[in-house]
Amino acid sequence: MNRLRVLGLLTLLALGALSGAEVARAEDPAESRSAAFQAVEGAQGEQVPGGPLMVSAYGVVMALLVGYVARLGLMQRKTAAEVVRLSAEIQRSRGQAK
Amino acid sequence: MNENATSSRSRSSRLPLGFLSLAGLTAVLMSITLYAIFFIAPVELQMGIVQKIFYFHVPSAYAMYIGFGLCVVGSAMFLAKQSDAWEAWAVGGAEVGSMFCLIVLITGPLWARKAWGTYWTWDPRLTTTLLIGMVYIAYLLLRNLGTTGEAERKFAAGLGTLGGALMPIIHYSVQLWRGQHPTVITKKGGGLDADMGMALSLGFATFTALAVLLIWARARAERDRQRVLTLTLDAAELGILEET
Repeated sequence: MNRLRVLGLLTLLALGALSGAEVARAEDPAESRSAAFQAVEGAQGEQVPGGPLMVSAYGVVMALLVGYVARLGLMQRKTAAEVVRLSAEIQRSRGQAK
Repeated sequence: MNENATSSRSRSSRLPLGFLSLAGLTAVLMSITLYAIFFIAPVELQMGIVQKIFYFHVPSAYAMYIGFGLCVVGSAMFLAKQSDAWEAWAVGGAEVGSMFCLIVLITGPLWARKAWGTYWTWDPRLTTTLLIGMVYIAYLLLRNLGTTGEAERKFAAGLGTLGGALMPIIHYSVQLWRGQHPTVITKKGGGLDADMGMALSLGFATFTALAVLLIWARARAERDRQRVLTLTLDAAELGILEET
């Protein structure tokens, strides 16, 4: 009877040890890492002010738009003056040729 | 004798009524949009006030697509029909598209500094946007720094046409590849507060009108530049170029 109890206990212990090994194998480092969240202390302390970034962004947009419109205006004025000048010169030359 | 000079001056300086109307509409829309962004749309919970860059950043990308898309069409039509008018539209589209691309590439990193903790990553969308900007800057350099020969114009038009292939890659890059750039507007409508959505819609309307207005103005300037080239050739034929 005692031998049976001992055998039974040993069997239970063996089964327990085997199942423990299975569990340990299932929880490999990757899976255990996937279930855990670890706080990063450094990032929490970082403060990036959003206001200056937003103001800079809108300032750059407005500067580019205003600058481009000004460039277009200057280009148009210069080209228009050149068209008038060349047309006048050509007409004068043709008038003289006649 | 001066009638043609006078008519040339009046044509160049007189702006079409449609252009002036569009300019007025754009100014009104811009005012309303800025009001909606800063006084109606709420501050975003996680990112804070820097999220308001969104209302100019996304419409700028959309305006970039308009500009580059018109360059693709104009370049293809120039190759097909050898039309100076289509070339002018292509140049206008490329230049305005490049400007809006620059706006996207500046406002995005400023926002990313807060949102991602870094100004730049080689995310697929960021990288392809940078790439298309470089393609169309190359197109503009080729048009403006090269000679006005037919070969250079056709080569530039080919570059302008092929560069458009990058646009769908940019747009679908966030779905095709993993990256950090978010997809806010999805088939389900997007994860936006109602007031935020309204401000964004106004931004889209404003930047559409602005893109059309600027492309129109640039194309007009390019047509005038083409006229100057034609007149210069006429003057050279008459032998008066050295005097001018």
